[in-house]
Formats: sequence, structure tokens, C-alpha cells
Amino acid sequence: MKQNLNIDQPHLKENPYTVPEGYFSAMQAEVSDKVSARVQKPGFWVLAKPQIALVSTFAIIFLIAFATIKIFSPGDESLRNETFATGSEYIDGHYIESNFVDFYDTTSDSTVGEEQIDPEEIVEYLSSSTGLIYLASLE
Amino acid sequence: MSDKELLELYREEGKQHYAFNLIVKAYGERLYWHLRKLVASHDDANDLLQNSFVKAWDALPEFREESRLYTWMYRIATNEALTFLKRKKARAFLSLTDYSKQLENKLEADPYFNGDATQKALHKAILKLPEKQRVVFNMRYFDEMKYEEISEVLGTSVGALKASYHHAFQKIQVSLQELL
Repeated sequence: MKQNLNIDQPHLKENPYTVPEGYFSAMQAEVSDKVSARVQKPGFWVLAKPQIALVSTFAIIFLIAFATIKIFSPGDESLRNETFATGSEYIDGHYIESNFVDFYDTTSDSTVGEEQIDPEEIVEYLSSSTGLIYLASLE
Repeated sequence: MSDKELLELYREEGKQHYAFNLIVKAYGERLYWHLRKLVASHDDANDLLQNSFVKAWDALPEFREESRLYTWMYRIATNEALTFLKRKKARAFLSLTDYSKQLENKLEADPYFNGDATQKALHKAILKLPEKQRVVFNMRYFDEMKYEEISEVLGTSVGALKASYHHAFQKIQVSLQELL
């Protein structure tokens, strides 16, 4: 005859299985041996962490430097460009074509190169200064 | 020692093996019984347990503590058991035999089963259940886990788990009426 069984009885929830004596200690030792023989690969984060830290440090340094330059540099960009243009125009237009003297004496109309010297005056000057040149060479 | 302390110890330089041995000691027995009730045979449960621990050791550096350690260990062991049962079932299908019948026979011949006739009938009925239903039933009935915890282990919704447990419970009642 079939019987109706209530499976909520506490004794049915008990564990009827058993293990050989000393099994759990032996199992722990066996697992320990197996695991010791294996080389544990470091995880992705363990490998990636130093690289991410390095990249982040560089990024922070770059941002700080960029922000410093931005803060301390003159704000009017067009004025700075104009100054550069003026300077460059001056060099192109005056300095290269002129000599040392007229570089400073910008108000002067004539240049040294434009003066005409008579060759006879040069010969006369050299002959009168021969004594001085000779004395200078003896020193 | 709590899971957190075990993991902190594991992350200390040169303490990995020691910490892992403590984890094995903490969860070995519990996981063994979970596996044993799923596969019936002591030898199969032992193989599955050892494989689970080796997998846990390999995967532990990647463990992000998004779930609790014991839930994570349970998941590894359960997946190992489900893969094993599927493989056995497929082999049994190819050799035109009934795998649940094989499990029943294993239980009948098991020298490490000390239960009475009613307990034997209950465990035979459990072994007749589909694998996932068996896992849900065992976790709820024997391990008295909350549905939320089972959901964490199996990645199934609580509603689906409740339905699964209800079906398993009914099937077992019917099986027991036939067996006793």
C-alpha cells in the first residue's frame, strides 16, 4: 500500500552520507599538494595596476603643467602676436640692411658706409701713424 | 576567520598558500556534502571537489569580491558538478542507458550511505530530478539557503528558483509515493 510521506520531517533533512575515516584531512593535504604544484598567474588587475598608475601620474603632471602655463601666460593673444610681428618686421626691414651703428642710432639719416673718404687721406693717416704702429708691435 | 580576513591574508606577500589552505579547511566539508548530494558517489564528489579547489586557486587572483567568497566557491563547485552530470548524461544517452538509473544503482551499492529506507527513497527521488532542479532543491532543502543566496550562486531570478523548488518538491512527493 502506498503511503503519503511528509518530506518536511526533520530526520529526512539529516545527512545520510558518510565518508571514509580521515577523509577531510587527507583531502585538504591533497588539495594543498595539487595547488603547490601550480604556478598562480597574477590577475589582470595585478598586472595592469602599476601601468595605470604610471599613465595617471603622467597625465596629472601634464595637466598641472598645462594649467600653470595657461594661468601665468598673458591673456591677450592678439597683442602678443602683434609684438612678434613688429619685432620681426623691424629685423627684416632695418637690422639686416643696416650696420651696428645705425642699429642703435635710429634717428640718424646717414650711415657710415655712405661717407666718401679720399684715398690720399688714408695714405697720409697711415704714414703719420707708422710710429705708433711700430711701438704697439714692440709691446 | 571571516572571508574578508582570509582574503586579506591571501593578498599578503608569501601567504597565498597558507591562506588558501585555510579556505579549503573552511569550505571543504560544506562543498563536499553539496557535491555528494548531487552526484551520490564519494569518488565522484571527491574528484569534483578537488577540481573545484584547483579552479578556485587559479581564479582567486581575479576574484574582485563582488560576491561573497563562499557564494563564489559554491558557484565554482556547482558549475563543476553540472558540467560533470551533463557529460555523464550525454555518455549514457549514447550508450542507450538511463543515467538517473545509474545514479540510483550507485546509491544502492554505496558503502558510505547510512540512511534508513525513507532517507534512501528520498535521495533516490532527488537523483531523478533534472540537474538544475536538483541543485535548487538541495540548496534550499538541505543547506537551508535563502532564495537570494541561491540566486547569487546560480544567477537565476528568485521567482524562477521558487517555481523550480516547487516543481521539484512535487516531483519528489510523487516519486516517494512510488518508491515507498
